[in-house]
Amino acid sequence: MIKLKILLNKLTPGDTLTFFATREQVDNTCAPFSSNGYQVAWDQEAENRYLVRISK
Amino acid sequence: MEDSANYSSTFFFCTPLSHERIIWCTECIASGAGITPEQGRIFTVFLTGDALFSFVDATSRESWNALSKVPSVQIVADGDELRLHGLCVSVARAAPGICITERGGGTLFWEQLISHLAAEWKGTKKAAFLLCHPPYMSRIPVHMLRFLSGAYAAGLSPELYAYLDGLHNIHNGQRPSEFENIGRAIATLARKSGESGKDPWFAACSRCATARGYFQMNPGTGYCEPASSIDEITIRPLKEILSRFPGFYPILSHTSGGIVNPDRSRDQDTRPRLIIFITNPPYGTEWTFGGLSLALATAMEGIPTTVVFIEHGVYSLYGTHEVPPNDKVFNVQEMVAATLDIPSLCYLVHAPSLERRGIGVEEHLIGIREVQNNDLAQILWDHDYSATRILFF
Repeated sequence: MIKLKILLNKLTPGDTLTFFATREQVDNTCAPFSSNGYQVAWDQEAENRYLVRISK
Repeated sequence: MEDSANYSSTFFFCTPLSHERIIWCTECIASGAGITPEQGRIFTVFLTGDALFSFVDATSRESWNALSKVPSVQIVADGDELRLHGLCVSVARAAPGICITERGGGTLFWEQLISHLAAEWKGTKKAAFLLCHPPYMSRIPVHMLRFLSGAYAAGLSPELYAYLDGLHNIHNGQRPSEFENIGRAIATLARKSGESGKDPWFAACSRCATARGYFQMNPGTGYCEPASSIDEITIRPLKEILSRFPGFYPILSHTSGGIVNPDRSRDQDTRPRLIIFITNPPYGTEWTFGGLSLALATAMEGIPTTVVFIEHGVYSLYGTHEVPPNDKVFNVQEMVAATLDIPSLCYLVHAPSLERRGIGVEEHLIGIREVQNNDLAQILWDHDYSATRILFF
């Protein structure tokens, strides 16, 4: 979560951070950012592989 | 301290207490307690294990004696552990104001602690322990078992959260030749509690478990699975463990505390806030990273969280940290700087700890507020929260 927060802090407004994550990472690391001022979206790409997009 | 709110505060220590910690802790408690009991504040300090040496140490015993004379403060020492360490007679003589539990087969102190916590966290049906120490090298897992077994005997559901090196307690096949088998005792307690209709919840942090090899990727399924761990403990993401924290119940750790406002304990929002003391240097151990990770995760869940850099923890904010290119370690200052904007997270630094070391806060972190002991006492006791949890890392 901290690694993600550091990356998000380096994001310029309007830019989106895109990466692959497991279901567990989506639920526990990425999703909490949606209630802390970020837009979080994801699409399932495979059994346990999700393409996550986070923007400010 | 002008506020007259009614609070019951409990502190628990079972690791060595430095002179520095005793000074700031006792000053804070004395400041919070005031000099008369009229404020309706009750302070109880429970000590066991290596913390007991502070009663005989010439640099710290006077602080305990002075604190024990404050009318609203009670200090309880584990009599069985004092006898184990050969300290019972000298402590009884040198510190007459300290309550020493009777000889009790290792359980009386814990019964007293649990009964006190159950009364403080009125209506609680459970009690938890955040375990960060490994078995055998440390006696803290034994203290954890005494506490959770006592909680079970008192009719509460035990909860265990294994974190950092506390993960090694979940290793299966433990077979100590001399010591109490911690793995087996945890499994037995979890089973016994479940079979008797309680709702035990024994969990271990998945990040810490993966790092230590107890949670391994199955290449066939793409999912991680427990490896070499006892069945009674479930490996879960830290977020799931912290989802328990909004509950109104006590959580102990090797050094911890709790503050409860009995007038507010029936309020709708009884979610305890969290105060984390970072007391260790930044990189030599996992304590600082573990404390900051836990603080960030609780704050992201909306739990008001305050991190206080104190004692050697102030080194996290000193100088400019640069991680060498091939060193896979988190830059603690980068962690702090990146999380300054999280609304539920507040960082503080203990000014006496900085002064004692003759250092200051690095320029780019200068926005972190410096606090004196009386400020800390106000932060701890002058507020509207129904409850506060205090954890040391």
